[in-house]
Amino acid sequence: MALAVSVRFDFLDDKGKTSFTKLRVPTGFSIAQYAEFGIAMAQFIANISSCQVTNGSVTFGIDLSGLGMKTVAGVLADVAQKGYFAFASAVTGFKKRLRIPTFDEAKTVAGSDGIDTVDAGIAAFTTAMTNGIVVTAGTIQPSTERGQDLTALSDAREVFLKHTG
Amino acid sequence: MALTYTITYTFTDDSGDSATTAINVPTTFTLAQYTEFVRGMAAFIDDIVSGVVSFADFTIGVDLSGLTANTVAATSDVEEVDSFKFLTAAGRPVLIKIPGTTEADVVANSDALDQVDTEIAAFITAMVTGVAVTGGTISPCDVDSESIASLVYAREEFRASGKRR
Repeated sequence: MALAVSVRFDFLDDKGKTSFTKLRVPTGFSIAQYAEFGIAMAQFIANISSCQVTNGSVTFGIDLSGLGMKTVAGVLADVAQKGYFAFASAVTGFKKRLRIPTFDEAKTVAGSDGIDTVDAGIAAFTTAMTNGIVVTAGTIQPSTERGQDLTALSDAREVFLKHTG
Repeated sequence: MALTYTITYTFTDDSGDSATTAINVPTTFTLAQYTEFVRGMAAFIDDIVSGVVSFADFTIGVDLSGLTANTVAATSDVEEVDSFKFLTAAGRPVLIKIPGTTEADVVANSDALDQVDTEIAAFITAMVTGVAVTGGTISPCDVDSESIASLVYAREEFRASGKRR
């Protein structure tokens, strides 16, 4: 049986404190139907809460089985070691930045923290980010948080974040 | 209206630590198409990391702009919660805690929520019988997608405040 879809609502009280609640609903409906449910349930909840409902979201777990991906982490894998990628968008000044944890250090340029953009794996990833991925009856192209299409890679380097274990 | 939807990938390293990264995509595709995209991008990412891509979540925002009576009441506290316990048909418990109890909804000399109150009753009905959406009804369930069948209790509870920072 498929795992349920998660619906989350966030709350704010008059002291500025925040909290959230989650409920589950079954799989098998469309995005529009889940959105409709989310709005209706948010109203039911707003009617009984003295807090304000500040955010609502519906999250679907995606099955990654059958892709032939790694099932065991490499012995040198560290979540604090990231591949930092910045992409320019169709609108000047709006960028998409992401840091990919456990970045494979073999994909950096020797004697540098620059990511080897000629490497086949890196090139395939950056192409997917800028040109999109072909899906049935369309192509989905990643965007900035504000929806602008990504047009070109502007920065790619290895970075580390503080991690105290 | 949501500007984009968000895909979150979770990574695990060889120490068992985890971290995430997020990609934004436009809002005009179907759930099946997004699933294809998430799986395709996961494979590209797997090729450039040394850790394991352990989870992928696809999240849509719920548009709350049309809610009514969704304001922060004076004296509201996120620690004061409406606590509901439901059972599925197989007797599995489903607990939902809604931050911000409205004191008027609590039965006098009791911690029970007034199930005769119109808004409390409407929420319980939505949880047990579902919410009608275009072309169907979405019924809340447990994590294994088993529908909620009955209410066990509805009462006021309190959570501990977190530490101030």
